[in-house]
Amino acid sequence: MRRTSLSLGLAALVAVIWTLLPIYWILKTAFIAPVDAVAFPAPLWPSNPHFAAVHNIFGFGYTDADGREFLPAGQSKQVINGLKNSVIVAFFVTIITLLIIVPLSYAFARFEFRGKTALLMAILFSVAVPPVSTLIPFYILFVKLGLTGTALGLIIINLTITVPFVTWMLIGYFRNLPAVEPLARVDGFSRLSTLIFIVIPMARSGIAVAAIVSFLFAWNEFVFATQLVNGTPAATLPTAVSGFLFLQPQPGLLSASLWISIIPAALVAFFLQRHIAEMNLVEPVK
Amino acid sequence: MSGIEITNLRKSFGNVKAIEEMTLTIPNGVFCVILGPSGCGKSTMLNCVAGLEDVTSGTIKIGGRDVTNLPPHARDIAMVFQSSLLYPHLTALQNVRMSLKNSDTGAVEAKRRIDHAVGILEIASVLDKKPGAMSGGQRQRVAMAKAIVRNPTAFLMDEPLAALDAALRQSLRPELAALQRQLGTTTIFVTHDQVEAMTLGDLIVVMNDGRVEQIGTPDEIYNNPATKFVAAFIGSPPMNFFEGQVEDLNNGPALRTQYGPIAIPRHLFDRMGGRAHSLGVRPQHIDINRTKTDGSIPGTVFAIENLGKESVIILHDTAGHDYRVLVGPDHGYSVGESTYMCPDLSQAHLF
Ligand SMILES: Nc1ncnc2c1ncn2[C@@H]1O[C@H](COP(=O)(O)OP(=O)(O)OP(=O)(O)O)[C@@H](O)[C@H]1O
Ligand SMILES: [Mg+2]
Repeated sequence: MRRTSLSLGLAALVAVIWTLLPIYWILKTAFIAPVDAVAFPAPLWPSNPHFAAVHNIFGFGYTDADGREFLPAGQSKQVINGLKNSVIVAFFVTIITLLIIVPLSYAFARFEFRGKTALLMAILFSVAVPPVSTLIPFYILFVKLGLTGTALGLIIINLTITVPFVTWMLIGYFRNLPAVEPLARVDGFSRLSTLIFIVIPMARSGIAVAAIVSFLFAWNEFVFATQLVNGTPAATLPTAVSGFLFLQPQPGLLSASLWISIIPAALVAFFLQRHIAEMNLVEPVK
Repeated sequence: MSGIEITNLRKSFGNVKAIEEMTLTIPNGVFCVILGPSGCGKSTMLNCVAGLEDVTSGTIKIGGRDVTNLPPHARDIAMVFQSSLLYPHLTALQNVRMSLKNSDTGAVEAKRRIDHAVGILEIASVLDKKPGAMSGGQRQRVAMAKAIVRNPTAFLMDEPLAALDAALRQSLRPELAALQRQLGTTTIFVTHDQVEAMTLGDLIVVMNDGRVEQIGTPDEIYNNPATKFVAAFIGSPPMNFFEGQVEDLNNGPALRTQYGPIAIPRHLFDRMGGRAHSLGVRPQHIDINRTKTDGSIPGTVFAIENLGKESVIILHDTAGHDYRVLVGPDHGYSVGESTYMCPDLSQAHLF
């Protein structure tokens, strides 16, 4: 017993360091003065914290203790715009995904209908296809439709990934829920009101996890965004952040904008983690 | 007024005839148990009465009203599902309230009924718990409370005790019977457990393969089984059957077995005539001896099950058929011994 808890503790420690160290490094770098950023060996913590980067990425100037002025310039102006676009894209992708997948996966889990197996296979197939392979056809299509450089185009292409993936995930979840439909019928609920008033509240953990997955996917999505919206007013946060990689090294600004992209995702995951735990139980919500 | 009247009910799923033909009248206030092996159509029958399944043909009346084409909610019934199914995400109280949510019961009346149900089922302490946090017995009580607040004309229950352990089932059985008597509501209770059927039912309907085998009181079903299926299904340990050909020989009717004739009482023979080919005798109506007597059947002791107060001796004949005989605790037999069975023919049944 003692030995297992010891090795478990060690494993947990390694896992925590493994995940948190890079994040700490980014946090630290965001508050380091430009001169310290290139020092070797790199300092382990910002001994005299410097707030220029976090001001600049939000479009504000900053004057440090020595009276030097740092103005937002170039790529750093893109961050706040990217943040706004990312919020819009991730929000609509999440909402539309949920509106589609909840009835869809419920129907797959509970009803028999013609062509069900074929449809399930099609969904599985679209989960299995690497997204990059559809990129060029989509790009050509979007050019013709005038959807490149728009948030709408990005939302549509994100949905082609989130919908099949999350549907596949939720079908199994719905199947595991107790079959309360006859109970609801005796209680006087119609099919539709059973879905709305009984099944959705009963399945809220699974649906919340589906929402997290869709949100995080759209929030972090980079490949499609690079091709479709990079350099346009519809650029999302990941593409804006990546812009720093191609300029003269500005580790402070890069780290500060990485922070912005991590925080909302972490918040979403944090507030919904109870549901993640609940969904992972063998017998959900029972 | 009649409680529930089922007339010429038939139900098929595609080519599968789940219910071939069923006519059943359950008088008002009667506790009727539908008993049968797995897959015989019990649940299908109950779902037809509840309106959860459409009938293929036939009519169903509840409280004198034809409900054949009404949805479940309009049938004035309450249902308790297998394993006392509840909404898992709602508390006990919310579960009970759901029964009245879509009815036109006023708030005051709803509260009065819920308080009443909570009182008789003694579930006040679990009202804030969700089903996952309740014991099996508590879930069963909440499911009952959910049913009785509707004040229905009929209760329909599909194996509500099946998932509980034996001890709990035994303690809930008499409570359920008492509750039904107290409320006087016509009840259909589906089970595959004969002990449940015998102890709960005023009326038992034995089903097999989509057909009704017999309808009767527990006494009638046990003492006068209408078919060999009923005779074999009811009673534990089960009835023994001696196979052969029934003939009217010159010294009276007899069953011709490979061990010689077994004389049959005239009144039994007159009912069945020469069509019968098995003689059923319950385990308590067979004597065994070490010596051969007239009309006795040889059997070798294969196993002995000691039940404490009595023992079941399992005998094999030369063809390997099982026979079970109930004997007192000091029977003195041991496995492998050769014995002779003497059935008490006054208690026998011909099929
Ligand atoms: N929805 C359905 N579709 C097709 N066949 C069905 C359906 N429901 C039941 N059946 C068939 O009807 C027959 C009776 O089923 P039913 O569920 O009524 O049996 P049961 O007596 O309740 O059995 P159990 O004791 O196992 O619950 C079975 O052969 C079953 O396979
Ligand atoms: Mg059943």
